[in-house]
Amino acid sequence: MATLTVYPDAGAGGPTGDVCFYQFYGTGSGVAWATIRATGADNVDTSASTWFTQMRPDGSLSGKWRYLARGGFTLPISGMGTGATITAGTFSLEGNAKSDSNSITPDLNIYDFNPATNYNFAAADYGNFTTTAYSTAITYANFSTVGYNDFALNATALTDMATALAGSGIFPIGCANANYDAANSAPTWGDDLGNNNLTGYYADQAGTTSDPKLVVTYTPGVTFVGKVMIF
Amino acid sequence: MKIDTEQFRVKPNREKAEIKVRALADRLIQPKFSMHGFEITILSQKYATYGANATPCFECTIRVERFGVEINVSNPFQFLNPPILVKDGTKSIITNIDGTKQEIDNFKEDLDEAIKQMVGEAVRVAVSQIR
Repeated sequence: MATLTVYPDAGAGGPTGDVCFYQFYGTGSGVAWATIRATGADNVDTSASTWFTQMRPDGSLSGKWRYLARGGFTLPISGMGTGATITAGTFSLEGNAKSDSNSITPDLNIYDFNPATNYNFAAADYGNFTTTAYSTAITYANFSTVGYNDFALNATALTDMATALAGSGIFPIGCANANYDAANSAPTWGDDLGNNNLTGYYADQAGTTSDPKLVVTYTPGVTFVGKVMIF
Repeated sequence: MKIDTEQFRVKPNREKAEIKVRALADRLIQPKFSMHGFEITILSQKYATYGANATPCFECTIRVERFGVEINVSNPFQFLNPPILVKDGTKSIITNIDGTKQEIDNFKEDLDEAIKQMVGEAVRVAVSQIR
């Protein structure tokens, strides 16, 4: 057995990375919940600290929304080697702020995410999140703003990680709000001052002990060394 | 010698990972420390490479105790693209993309503390996976 900890690469140079994807519409140009969940006004934020999720209503248009954000991460797992048996995995995000201006208690979970590339992500990768949950959502109340928030990977995630290990060796994970975004259920609309978010650290320039991380317990595959005896 | 320089920051990520792993592996840190309620002893540490791509990896073998009782963890502990920066206890105010202000931590380079924190974090998570 062994315990592997991996961190995404900083910046856009790969071979892995992370970024906040978000939809943005100006004041008075907000859209319906179903629209903001789909691709359209796609953007990326490459800051070292930004939203894991953010939902902001358009105060001038009843029932419309201006912001919706998600986080995308790719993790280098090839170090386990092909043939490894993965026993358990935990993905952790360190929080540093949260806001619930509209009293909608946004939570956070991690999901199957299929970006077009493993780094230098395109804004359109906002549309490559699925609603296949990789863990159990962390509630707004339980989201820590002073330390790591742990998502224990479920059987689906471990299976997908094993598939990634046999393929590219890079495992993508997305984070998004569960109770409104993944559930496709519009939150209660409020005024334009409403910030409803969970915020924290993405990968930094040189790597910090607050960066997103994946801890995997695994058994290495057996390596056979062929020998030929010549007489 | 400081690693996180302007010259370091423009290097390719693979090269940066290599530099970080070698620097961490060469540290002679106090091998026994406490973190998250665990007494952790680093028995050995080294630079290693893994996989077909020879990915650089900081690898250590550790012993973990809690309340004087040894906890069976899955050695070795391996770290790919490891951190070298830790919080320095000060804060900065940044402006988010929507114009709102936010307070975030400042970080400093400290290889010894980075090793302790990343190993301590891995132990905390690994023990939770056992339960």
